[in-house]
Amino acid sequence: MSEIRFPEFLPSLENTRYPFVPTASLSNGNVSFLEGTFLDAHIYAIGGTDRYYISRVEVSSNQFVIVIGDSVTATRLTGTVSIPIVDSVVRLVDTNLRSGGVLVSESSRLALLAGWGIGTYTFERTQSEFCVTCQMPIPDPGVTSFKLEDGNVFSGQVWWVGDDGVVLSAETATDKNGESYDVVRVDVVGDPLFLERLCKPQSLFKPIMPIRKIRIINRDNIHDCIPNEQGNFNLQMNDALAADAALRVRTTSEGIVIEVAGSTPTV
Amino acid sequence: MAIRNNHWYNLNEQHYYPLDDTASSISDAGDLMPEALISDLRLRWPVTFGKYAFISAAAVTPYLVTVLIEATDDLDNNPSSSVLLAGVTLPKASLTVGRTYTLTAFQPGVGGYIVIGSGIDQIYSGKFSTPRQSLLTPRAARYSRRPPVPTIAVENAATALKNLVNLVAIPPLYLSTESREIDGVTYDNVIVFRLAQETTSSLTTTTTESVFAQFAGPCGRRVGSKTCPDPQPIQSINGVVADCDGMITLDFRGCALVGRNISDCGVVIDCELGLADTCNPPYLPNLTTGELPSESPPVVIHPPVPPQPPVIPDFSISESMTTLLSLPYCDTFDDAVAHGFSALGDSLFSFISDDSPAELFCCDGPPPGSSEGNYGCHDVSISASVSVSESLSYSVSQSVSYSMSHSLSYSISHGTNKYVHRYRVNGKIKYPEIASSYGTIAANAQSRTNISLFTLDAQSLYRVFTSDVKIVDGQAGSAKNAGLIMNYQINSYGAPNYVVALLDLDTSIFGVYFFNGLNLLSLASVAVTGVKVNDWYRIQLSAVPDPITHTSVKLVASLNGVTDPTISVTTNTNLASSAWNSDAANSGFYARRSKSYFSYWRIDEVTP
Repeated sequence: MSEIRFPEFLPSLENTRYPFVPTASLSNGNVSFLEGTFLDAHIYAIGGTDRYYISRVEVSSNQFVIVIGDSVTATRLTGTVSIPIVDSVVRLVDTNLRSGGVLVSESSRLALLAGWGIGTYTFERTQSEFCVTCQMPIPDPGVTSFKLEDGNVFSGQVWWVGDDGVVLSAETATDKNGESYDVVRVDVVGDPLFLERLCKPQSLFKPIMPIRKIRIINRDNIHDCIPNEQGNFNLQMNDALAADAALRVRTTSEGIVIEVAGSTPTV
Repeated sequence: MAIRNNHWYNLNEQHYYPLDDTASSISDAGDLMPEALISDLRLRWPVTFGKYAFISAAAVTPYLVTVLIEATDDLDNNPSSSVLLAGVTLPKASLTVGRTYTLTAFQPGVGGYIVIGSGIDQIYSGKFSTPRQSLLTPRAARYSRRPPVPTIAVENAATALKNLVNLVAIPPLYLSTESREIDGVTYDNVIVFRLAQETTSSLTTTTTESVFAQFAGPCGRRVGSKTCPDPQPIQSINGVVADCDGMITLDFRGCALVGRNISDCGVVIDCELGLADTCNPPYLPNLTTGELPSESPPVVIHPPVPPQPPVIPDFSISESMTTLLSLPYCDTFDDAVAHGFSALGDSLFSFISDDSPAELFCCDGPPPGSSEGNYGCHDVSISASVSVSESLSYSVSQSVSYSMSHSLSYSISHGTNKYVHRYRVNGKIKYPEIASSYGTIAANAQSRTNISLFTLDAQSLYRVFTSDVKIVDGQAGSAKNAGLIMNYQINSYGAPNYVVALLDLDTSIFGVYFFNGLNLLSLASVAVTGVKVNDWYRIQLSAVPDPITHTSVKLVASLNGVTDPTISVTTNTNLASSAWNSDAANSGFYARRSKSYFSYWRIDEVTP
């Protein structure tokens, strides 16, 4: 019988408990994982700790869910496999649906779990703990994601965009140790032209045409006046035609009064 | 039975895993590290501590198992710059072979796991100074880059956030998830920061209370957003907005003479109207005579002595019988009474001893006894001054016929009013010796618009009004005009509307105007040459429904010179029924800041 002397990685571990530890029983006394159900595993849960294991398997009519726990929680990651099974890789996600690892298998191997029947099957760590080499420690993940109040979680490449009345800008600042750090500056500045911006459809907005020039017509004389350097336009009276001119042009606190003075108002 | 495939841990105990194949596994003392000491290992550390992680020390004593891991950037670690990353010390008594133990991190960002193998049965102690001796294989130990966003914090805050960061916005700031195209690429992972008006207040929020205006601050106010403080900027004048060039036009008319300041393009308005034109005469003594104003005798035009009424048969059907105004009607004012005239407001009308040489027209009419009647002038030959009172001079039936057919609304008492004041002597008509005209004679009258309405007739339609007018020089600055008014009425806005046929000597224009409550609008006008002061002119103004359109009133005005018979112009126009409004309106005299005489007042019926 021929034999492959230097098999590939996965074949070399076939028929072993890998990716579980060799001491894992792979059985909870009710159902059992067969050796080779999973060919390999790679677990890198954000915020996870250590000693990952399959804490339970939830089988329903149209799918089964593999739940991965760690030394802190029994529900760190989940992987969902739809029935009928077509996937060979179970993608693990955390509670915020962020990627947390993969379980490598084959659809025919995964069919074993579907065959357990509908129900929830719980396992202890000693029964289904993964090898250390399958666990990727993430000691300092930094800021992994942003979560909004509506529950949406943003990870990976995330854009912050300032819209109506908000301006976002990036700056660089220096801390007290002299080290520079990036700053996202959020300026809530309002919008002076918000009426036009919010007018929908925008064509409904009618811009105001300010009075910039005054055209003076007096019989056949026409001339245009613009404000002086101070933006002022002067309107005055003169007494050249009548020494005791009855015309009055005066400025009050409420505006300009143009009147003909006298005690005999006309009809 | 042979084992065909060993488990991963068993395989690792059969060689120097997790050491790299290039590592010698020989300690500084020359001892070979046991192969089965470590079954499995996973380590991650920041590359800032070094690219090569290696086991720097391993010891197996009767009681303890210790493994230390360092990192350096030099495989020879020369000079020694390695940094201790992590390690584990486990008491043998509690150690379980094949169990996962967490490495103790000695540097931030370092973490890992280790599985101790069956090699702990062999007492061993070894130190490794360089990665070349005990370099960890990349499968077991990988360095990591600094996280792209290690922490996030509010500036100057003591607490820095990492891992999953919750973003919470407090209204009016809102966060939302959207897709945006950025640099031509559509991204779904977009968090949009925006201000928004709270829904509960959006219906009642004014522009100045808008959240956008609040945050824009006092310098963010814009005319277009209506956020400028009160008073709001003027956008239009009487509904007239500036054109797209921002220009608005001011048109100065009338007495205004507008000049322009060269320095700043300002406007200087001048008007020849002085205070003497707009104020009552000062209540001061006459400097020539020394008389006090109260001592100055008023100018009184005495009315003629009323003649004895003729004795006529009493044919009245009732002592209380009233009669209605019959046409034609004429009042020569020679009795210094303007019968039925009422000066409007503070209009000033008085009498002056002057008359048109053609006042005879007032009593002209068809020959006595003709079918057309006598135009209200009795053909009674009397040898003495006998008042021909017009009390029911016509037959009752004729009077009633007139009144009914023309809807005259006024009635007068029998025998108490004179319609025509004239006398006939020896078959020829003579007039009172005191010629008198009605007009705006007083100086004060020349500083205002004067209107005197004839209140005995409340209809202008189917009427032709006639008077001879004379315009004389008045006070300095006064105007020179005279005219006949018809259809004077107050519109629904409380403003007067009327039609006036006006002769203006200042402009030498005779025309028909409509006063809309604010301005005189020219309906038709014609320039007249040769008109001048102190001449008498006859003005006639008639109104009949337009025979063609029936939706407007046809106005005909004529001007004929009495002093200068060569002057004769006629103009006509139509006035919309909406402007004409009701037929129930008065007629009368008009003079605007002018000293003008009206010799008589005649009303005739006119047919379309």
